[in-house]
Order: sequence, then C-alpha cells, then structure tokens
Amino acid sequence: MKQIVVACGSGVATSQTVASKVNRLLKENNVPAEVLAVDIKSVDRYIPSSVAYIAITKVDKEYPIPVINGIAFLTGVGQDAEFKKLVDAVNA
Amino acid sequence: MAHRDTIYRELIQLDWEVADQTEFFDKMAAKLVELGYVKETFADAIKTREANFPTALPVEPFPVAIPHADPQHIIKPFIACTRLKNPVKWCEMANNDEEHDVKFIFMLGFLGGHGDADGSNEHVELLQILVMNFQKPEVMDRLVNAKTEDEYMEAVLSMEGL
Repeated sequence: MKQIVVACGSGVATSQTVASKVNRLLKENNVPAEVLAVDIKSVDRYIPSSVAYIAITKVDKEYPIPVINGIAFLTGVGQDAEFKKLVDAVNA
Repeated sequence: MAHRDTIYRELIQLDWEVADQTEFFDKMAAKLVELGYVKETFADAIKTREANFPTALPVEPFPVAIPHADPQHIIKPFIACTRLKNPVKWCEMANNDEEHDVKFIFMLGFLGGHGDADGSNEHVELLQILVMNFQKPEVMDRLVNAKTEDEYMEAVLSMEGL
C-alpha cells in the first residue's frame, strides 16, 4: 500500500476532509494507496515515505514527489485532473 | 452534536458593514468572546492563522470564506454565518496570491482535531456538506435574498445534508 500525505494549516478540518474524499476515490478506483492527514509542521517528515503530497496551503518549497492541488478535492472543481495526477504518481 | 445544532441564531450576522477583513475578525471575535464561544486568545489566533493559511474558497457562484482557528481557543463549537453588506478582500486557500471579494463567511469553531477520532470525523462531514451546498445556485440565492436573520438562518438550515 503506497502512502499519500495531505496537510493543512491547523489540521482541524480541511486536511481530514480532503483525506476522506481522496481515500474514497482511491478505493472506488481500486488504486492501492491511502492518504494520511498530518499537521503542516510535520509534513516534511512524511515526504520520504510518500508518493505524492496533496497541498491545501501554498507550497513555496520544491518537493521530490508530485504536489497535488488539494482544494480541487474540497470543491470538486478540477478534481478529475488532480486525481489523475495522483493515480499516475501511485503507479509511477 | 448534530451539525445543525452548532448553528445559533445569535451568531447570524446580516449585512454587517466592515472596512476590511481585520475589522470583520475584530468585530466577530468580540461578539464570540462576549457570548462565551471562544477564549480571549481567539482574535489574535484567527488573524494569524488566516494570514498564514487563507480560507477563501474559489467556488461558483460566489466565493465563500471558511475561517477557523486552532481548537484550544474554542470553548463551545459553533458555525457563525455572516453576510457582509459590501464584500471585503480575502485570499484564496492554498493560493495566497489570489484575492476574492467575499461577502459570505462561515466561521467554524471546532473542538478536537488530529488524533481526536470522534471530533474530527464530524468536521470532515460538515465541511463536505457546506462546500457542496456553497456550489448550489439555489442555496446561494436564498442567502442572497434573505431579508432577516431568521430567513438567513432558515436558508442555512435548508442546506442538503445539514
């Protein structure tokens, strides 16, 4: 099972909402990965063990793994394109 | 606690006049402190969090802001629903350089968070319900056209799934 990490500013609401939505999409599409919601302050620790980073905050840094737009999963706008990027990262 | 039970009539603000986001936060925080929903630390906490992690959602037909602060500043969970008289500038979530003219604000006061399995699931569901409804023109029409706080409250409670 591959790991995808998602982080938001307070860790109270948005990251978990996105995580639950993406986990459902992964399951429905039989993609062998799961999403872990973490606090933004600890996200760097999870990068090495993850295949993609779903960001709900502005990303100023370069990451060695694909960065996916998390707001797309929150609003549904542009969700298909972002999900495809995610699946590609899992299958890479 | 059911979602709709965290929407209080006394926390509906209709056609508030504020010059900018800071004035909105000051006014809202003062009211929340007075009514016992948040601690004194809330005003600074919400402003700092918003500056670092903005909360305007670029949804159609209208952008909606969902400001929230860390749980330690909250006393009693709430959703405070505001319609401003005139929109104020609000930065987009995850895209801080993009500004929106925001009139509709749903301030979320949550307890719990990571590691709080019970509390967090509720937030997840609530946020999904709200965001889904923000994108329904018929729901937003009711929010636009509500003439009194009671009508606004009814419009919010009419959201599917709430």
